[in-house]
Amino acid sequence: MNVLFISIDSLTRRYLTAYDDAHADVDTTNLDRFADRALVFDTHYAGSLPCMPARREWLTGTREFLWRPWGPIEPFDRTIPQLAREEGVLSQLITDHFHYFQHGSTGYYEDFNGFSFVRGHEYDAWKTTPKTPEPWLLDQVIRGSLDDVDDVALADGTAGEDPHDLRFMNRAQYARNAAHFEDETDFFGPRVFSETADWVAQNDEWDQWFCYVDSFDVHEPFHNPEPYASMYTDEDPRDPSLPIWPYYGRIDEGQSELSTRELEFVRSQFAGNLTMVDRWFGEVMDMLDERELWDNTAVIVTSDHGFYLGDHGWIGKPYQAPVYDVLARTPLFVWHPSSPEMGGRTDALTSAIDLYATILDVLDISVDETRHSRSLLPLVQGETDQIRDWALYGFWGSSMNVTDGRYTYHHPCREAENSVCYSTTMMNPYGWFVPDRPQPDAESGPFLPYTDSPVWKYESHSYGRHEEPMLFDTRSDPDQQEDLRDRDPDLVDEYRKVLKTGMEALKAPDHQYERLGLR
Amino acid sequence: MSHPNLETVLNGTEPDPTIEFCLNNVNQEQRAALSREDGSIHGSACLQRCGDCAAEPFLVVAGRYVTGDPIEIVEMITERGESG
Repeated sequence: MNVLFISIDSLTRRYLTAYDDAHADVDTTNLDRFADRALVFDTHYAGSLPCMPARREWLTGTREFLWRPWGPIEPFDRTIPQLAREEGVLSQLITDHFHYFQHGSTGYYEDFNGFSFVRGHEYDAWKTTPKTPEPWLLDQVIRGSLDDVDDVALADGTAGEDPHDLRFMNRAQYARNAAHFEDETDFFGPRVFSETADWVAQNDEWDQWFCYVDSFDVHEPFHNPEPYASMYTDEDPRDPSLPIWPYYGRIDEGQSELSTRELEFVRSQFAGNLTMVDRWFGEVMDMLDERELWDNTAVIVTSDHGFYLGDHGWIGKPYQAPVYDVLARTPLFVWHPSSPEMGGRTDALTSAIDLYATILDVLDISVDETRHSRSLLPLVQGETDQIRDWALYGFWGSSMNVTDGRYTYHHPCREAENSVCYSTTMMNPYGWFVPDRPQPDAESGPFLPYTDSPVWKYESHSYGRHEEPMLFDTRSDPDQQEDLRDRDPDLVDEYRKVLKTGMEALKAPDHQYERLGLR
Repeated sequence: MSHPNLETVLNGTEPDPTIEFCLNNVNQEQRAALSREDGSIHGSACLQRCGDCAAEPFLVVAGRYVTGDPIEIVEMITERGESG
């Protein structure tokens, strides 16, 4: 059996009619078409957040956020493409997700037999010309919310907003990368999915393959060609005063503040980007039809997380925001040709990390242990209706979240208690995209419960997202508007115990209990 | 210490602007001091300005990037508010 794994970044599931009618006006014809033929997972949750932690979960089965943040593949990880090589299964990566090739995350692409890197998304260090990109796009990506958008560089030396500043993460990079884009096929989703369709068509001589497709769209910047840019707005999509790349945070203050008009525009461009991705995802579906590959190919479609678009007063996936279901409850569709469950739905609780064991299971690759991952194949085959009782999720260094599929419990951290980072590298606990800095206070030792290998251990700060515990009944309150903390303290206690049960099962490090006040 | 763009940023803003700082850009002492200030000062684990953050101390004042010692800048803004 081949496996075609497709991640569409930031694919907020309420935009998919397979899950919700709230945005039924947004055209997702091909994702709907796929959902109709696949098994739809109604209770699928992210685990380690955000982008690269999710990918380490998928590729290595490691629930990393208990031990470290965004970082590299570790020497004791056994990646799917590494295991596939050993079993004679061809593997291919197709992506425009430039984080694989950036400071902060090494080891992710090197194990694949082939990889295709579609250049230019977000901060990808690709083009150096034009030195001064077109003003309208520059304004839209740098500070679309400013009143004085013509004064991007603030002539008196605001280095952080100067398009010629050569430090890392200058948003002008995107405006250079996209400067030569003329039509739809120059954009990212079209390039990633047309490459995928071509790859699938051209590799049928191999006995078995694993194709891992990681689309950075529908991640911001929400830059779209026509007709998508105008599809869900009456605004001029090139109006330099309208943002396509909002900063993360509150929509009512600070650098992330958005007017109603600006927020509506951002939403329209997110929706347009989704429709564009959907249209090109359809090319892959069509190729599977044309080459009659559905009978020997399992297809998994998912996302790493959602994206707040004004939900709960937030934009993006801010470090200050609680991890509501908009971010954490992600879409998952699985096609398996021999499953009796195709065309159905399951409400079983599943977690992003389970895709590691699932993919290995479908590829028929046996391993001694799958670390924190549990195969969903028995669920897909209709052999069971339950995989797990709880799932932990969150960002390293912050609050801890757990769900049993009905309730979500969000436990705050004590900011005064530091977090601890464990890695074989001296990775930056924060600021992942710049060169690593030495950790002079690091200790070394075999600190991890899932490997004998020594690792570095060093501290960094914790950060809160909410001061009190929060509890939501997602069955009666799917939008998580009613915190049950005060109304049902006994239930809060019960879910605090569920959280501890989950942490104990994963052998969470001692400092987590101190940091979370769970002793 | 001078803050060349602070006056530009503050011109036309409210007397009590929202101030944001990156937790990775301040030391523990500065974090504690900033956290004692009123509710218009917010710390974040990341303000998506990693290149700037690695290079120099900064704040985001009224949505704008301002370089310089964060405590000094906050004091200047506070004094401006009190005198204005």
